[in-house]
Amino acid sequence: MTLLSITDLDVFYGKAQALHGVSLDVTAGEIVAIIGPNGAGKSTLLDSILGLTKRQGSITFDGQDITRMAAAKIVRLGIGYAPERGHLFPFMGVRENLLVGAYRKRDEIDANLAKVFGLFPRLEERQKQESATQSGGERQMLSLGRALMSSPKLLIIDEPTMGLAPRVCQEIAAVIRDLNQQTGLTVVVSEQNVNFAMSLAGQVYLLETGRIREKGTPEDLRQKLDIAETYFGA
Amino acid sequence: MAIQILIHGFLLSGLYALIAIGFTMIFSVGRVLNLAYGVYIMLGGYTYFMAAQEAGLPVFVSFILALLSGVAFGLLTYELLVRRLENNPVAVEISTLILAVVMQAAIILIFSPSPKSMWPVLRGVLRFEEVSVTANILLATGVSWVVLALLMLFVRRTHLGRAIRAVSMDRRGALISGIDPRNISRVTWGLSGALGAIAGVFFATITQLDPHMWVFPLITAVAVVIVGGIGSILGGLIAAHIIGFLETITTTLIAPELRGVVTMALIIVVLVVMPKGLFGKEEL
Ligand SMILES: Nc1ncnc2c1ncn2[C@@H]1O[C@H](COP(=O)(O)OP(=O)(O)O)[C@@H](O)[C@H]1O
Ligand SMILES: [Mg+2]
Repeated sequence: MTLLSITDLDVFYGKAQALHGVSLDVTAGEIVAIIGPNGAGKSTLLDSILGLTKRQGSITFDGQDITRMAAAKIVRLGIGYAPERGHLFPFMGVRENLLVGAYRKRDEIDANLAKVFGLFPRLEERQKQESATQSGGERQMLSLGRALMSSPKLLIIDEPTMGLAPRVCQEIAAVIRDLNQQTGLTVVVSEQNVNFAMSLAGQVYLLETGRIREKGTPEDLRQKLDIAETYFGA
Repeated sequence: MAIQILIHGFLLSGLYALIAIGFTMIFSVGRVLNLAYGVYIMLGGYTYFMAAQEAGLPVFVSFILALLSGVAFGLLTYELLVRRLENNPVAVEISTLILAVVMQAAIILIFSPSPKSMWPVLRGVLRFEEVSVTANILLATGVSWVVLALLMLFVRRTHLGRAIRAVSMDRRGALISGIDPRNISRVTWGLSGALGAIAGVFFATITQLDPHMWVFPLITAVAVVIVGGIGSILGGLIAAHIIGFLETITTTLIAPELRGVVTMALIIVVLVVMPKGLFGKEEL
């Protein structure tokens, strides 16, 4: 079953066009990775799913047309978003940040807190710490945790490994894999770290200068793209 | 004399903190200065005057009516002006200033330009040794502190309150948490109107009720925000006390006409010397 379907998406920043006719399908239960160099349009694409850009085309989620929907409503339909740079609330503690994530899902707060603390014990140890004083890795965990607090059907993650040490990247990868395999959560993740993306995803899209250049399984893409290394130095 | 000034300064400061908080909230959430804020204070005063003194309604009912007038006018400011001028703070500031002047004219037309003498909300004077305080200013301070404490609980302990702080800290972060910033703005403007009007009832009974009374509280609010640092509740409380004491000292020891002048001087000094205020951090 297709959970998310994007067709012919054009996105503009003022007059500049950042995405050109992007189409993408996500089947329920799978992990889809969007790879591409800096400035390719990965964040723009993910922001667009959340209704945060000026866009044309069509986006449907879980059978509903969300192309023109406001972000708050899209979140309520079941999309959790961990955006680039986190957009956490710097002067709130860890727990408070998570509680804001539960704004639309107040009946499941206790269960979701337990779930997030189970995935990231470090967050549970420092519930009062303001996110402004957290390390990069902790912030990424909090960002994922906040997104999970709305009990999403689809989790969207923008470059989770950006600026993180390899060990932390592995930790994050393990959590994403667990969520997907154990709870059947569908995940869309963007990455410049090709190895990270390829090791997680069932489907990979390569985005370049606002267009989808290739798509397929990680094996397909590896074969088609020996050049990937020249692009990403991976 | 010294102890009298100390006590009066302290009492007045609570009211100043209340005046300032309603103004700060708007800035934190929408990043605009609401220059019509003084009108909520004036409206609170006039509504209470009409209800309690002209219509003879009970104090509590008059108070609620004043509060509602603030809520209504706050919401109106948001819906009619601010929402339409979103992303243009300068336009918001100019138009709210114009709104304040228009409201001043309206009040003059309806009530005449001359000051009304207001009865205190609570009568009586309390004396301890050589110090005397009116029951009215004690009540004003008590109500101010209770309202501030309730507000603190509201923004820290409720989902809606946290959402207001979330929008003030990271609008996009709030959006992707399922919060509609427009709804939050609406709530904040209504709340700001209520806080201004509550403060206004006391402010009018302590100073006087006239069509120009919106100016001084506005300056006080701006000063608290600038001195305390934008959006910091603790910074605001401390700034309100600095200003409250300065005002009390100058108006009792030098001349009552100096009310506001020291505050304005303080604004300039802080802007030049420490532009982020004493506690500048962008939170509520
Ligand atoms: N807010 C913005 N305003 C104008 N241009 C933008 C904005 N955000 C991104 N862009 C442009 O859109 C293109 C895609 O950017 P982005 O989606 O951030 O790429 P990526 O996430 O793949 O690095 C880039 O050319 C970038 O300069
Ligand atoms: Mg990006």
